[in-house]
Amino acid sequence: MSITYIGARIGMFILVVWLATTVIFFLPRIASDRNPVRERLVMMAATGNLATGMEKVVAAYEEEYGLDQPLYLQYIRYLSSLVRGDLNYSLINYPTRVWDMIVQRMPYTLGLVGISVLTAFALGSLSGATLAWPGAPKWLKGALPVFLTLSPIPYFMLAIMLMFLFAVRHQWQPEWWPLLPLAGATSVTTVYDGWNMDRILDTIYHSILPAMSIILSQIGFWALGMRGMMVTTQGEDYVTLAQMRGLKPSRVFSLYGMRNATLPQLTSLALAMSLIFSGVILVEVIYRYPGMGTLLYNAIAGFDYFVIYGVVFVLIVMVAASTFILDIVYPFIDPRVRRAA
Amino acid sequence: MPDAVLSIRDLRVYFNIRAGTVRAVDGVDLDIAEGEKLGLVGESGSGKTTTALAIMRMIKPPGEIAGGTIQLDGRDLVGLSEPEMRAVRGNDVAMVPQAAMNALNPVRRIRSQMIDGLRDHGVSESRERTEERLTTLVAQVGLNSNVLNLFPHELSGGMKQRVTIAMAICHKPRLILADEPTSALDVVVQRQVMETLEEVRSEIGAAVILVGHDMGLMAQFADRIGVMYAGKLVELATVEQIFSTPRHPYTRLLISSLPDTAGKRRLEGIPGLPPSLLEIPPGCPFMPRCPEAMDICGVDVPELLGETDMVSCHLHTEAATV
Repeated sequence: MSITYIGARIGMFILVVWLATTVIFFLPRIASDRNPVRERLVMMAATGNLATGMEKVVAAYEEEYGLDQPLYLQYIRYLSSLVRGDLNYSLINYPTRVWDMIVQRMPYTLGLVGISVLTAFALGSLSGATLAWPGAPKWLKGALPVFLTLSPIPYFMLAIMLMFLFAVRHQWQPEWWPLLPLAGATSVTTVYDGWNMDRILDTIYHSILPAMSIILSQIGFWALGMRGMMVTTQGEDYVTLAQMRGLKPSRVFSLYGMRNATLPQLTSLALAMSLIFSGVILVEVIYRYPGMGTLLYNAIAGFDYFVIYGVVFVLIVMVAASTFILDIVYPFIDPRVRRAA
Repeated sequence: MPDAVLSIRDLRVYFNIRAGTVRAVDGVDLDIAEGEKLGLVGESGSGKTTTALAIMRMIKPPGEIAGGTIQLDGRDLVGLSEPEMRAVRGNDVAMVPQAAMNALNPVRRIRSQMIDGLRDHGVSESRERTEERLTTLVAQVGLNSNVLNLFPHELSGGMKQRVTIAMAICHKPRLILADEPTSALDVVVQRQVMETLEEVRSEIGAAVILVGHDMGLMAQFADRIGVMYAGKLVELATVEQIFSTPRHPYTRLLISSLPDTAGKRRLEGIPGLPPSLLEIPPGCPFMPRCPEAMDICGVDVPELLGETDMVSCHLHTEAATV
């Protein structure tokens, strides 16, 4: 892989992030020319919640952010602070820095998204590939329509359904019916001091339902895509020749079939990341899971503009990064791209 | 033929589709001697490729081997279980595929793909020994050993076809099936590839069935030629006999439709179309197009008869002379 290829990918990554943040910056400014800090101040005053630190907040922002200055100067300021990794202060939780809030929430979201998306991708692709192969087990054939039915349902709807079924006690549920945590990432009764094994296990236990809402909804999508790709691959001459050379069916299936059918699936995965993130935000809100989605939701509800900016910026970086990673990894998994790389 | 490597009797391959049963191969008898080169010709849909696939037991649904026996060294392949058959493929019978352009896995190096075959046929040896073996194999087909490090897209069409030949001879098979191995190559490379195939074939002493419709290629390569029409073998004779004294009217028309480099004769085709394999008419399948058709041809299917030059035509049976 050449330096120019990597350079071009990095350039593309920066360009995408820059364009997206620019849109994020200008869109609310074009829509209204009101000062968000003053808006917030007025709102809090109206509800009698004017905290003592409020004047300091306005002063800090007027100075820090230069809200009275022309738009292009504000934009330059905004960009230069982003480059320095400075996401400003939270309006509601002043003087907490937005960056610190995000760092606190990030592991939860990354863990939830990472594990559920990878699980769904792996399970879906594997079952899709098996379904395309002669001799696929009957139960799997029966399961596909079920997952296909689940796949167009938005994550948050599935989240509510799962919550209703598995987080709430009903009359009709038999004794053995499992009940899982309704909300949060750890038990309310336990206070943890830093990360340890118990806390990780507790978090995983609390993440089952949010993760299942994503996994159940996605399996059908990946299975369908993989089945289609696998059917195409099976018609390829190299699979036929592999069979005619007397290779073992397991080897033909994995190294000749799946290995090739996975390539377009990975592209779909990188492209689907933005949709997945936006879906995860709502799942987090429903389960009051302390990730970036809940943070964003609360920020929107409380007009905490700088938290919104910050979270959206980090989400943009994550989505752009997933595409970037795919671009870097792709030449290693598809030698035909290597020449172009 | 008692010393036959391959002995096919009454092979029938049917495709059961909604419209009925397509008789792609309908009662083929064929013997191939050790080290013999047999050309199988015929127009598209005559059943030549299907016959080759049937020998490999690679007929896929809705097709099936509806009857007959395929004996390889006295062992009936039709009766083998799928795992037993897998061990035969590549080991006793090898295939040189039609479109080498896409016949190799695009994401794996040639070396790994060749090693796959060794592993799955139970060859376990040291890495050095394997490397030596692979180097010898690719050298046999006229390639440098650095192709082992390459991916298929880095090879030319001719090189890819040579790799498939190297794969085919890897286990010294008794029989090689070559299904139009040069159809995707230009004429110069075609010749080189065919010469390579002949060289390695004679080295390992394998018999070859060359499937194709290039009569010129057949004349240069084969010992005997089998002519197929509508799922049946209509004539089977040595190359000399086929070209000098073709006996079946279809073979005659086939040869007279070849371009002539000497004269400025107009190219002539065979009028009409082969019958639908769904409803093969009674009697000789070639009768509707045959310039020498007789009354009996419409009612009775001629058998493949003869000693060295076998033909299935009523012009050469008792029925016609009576």
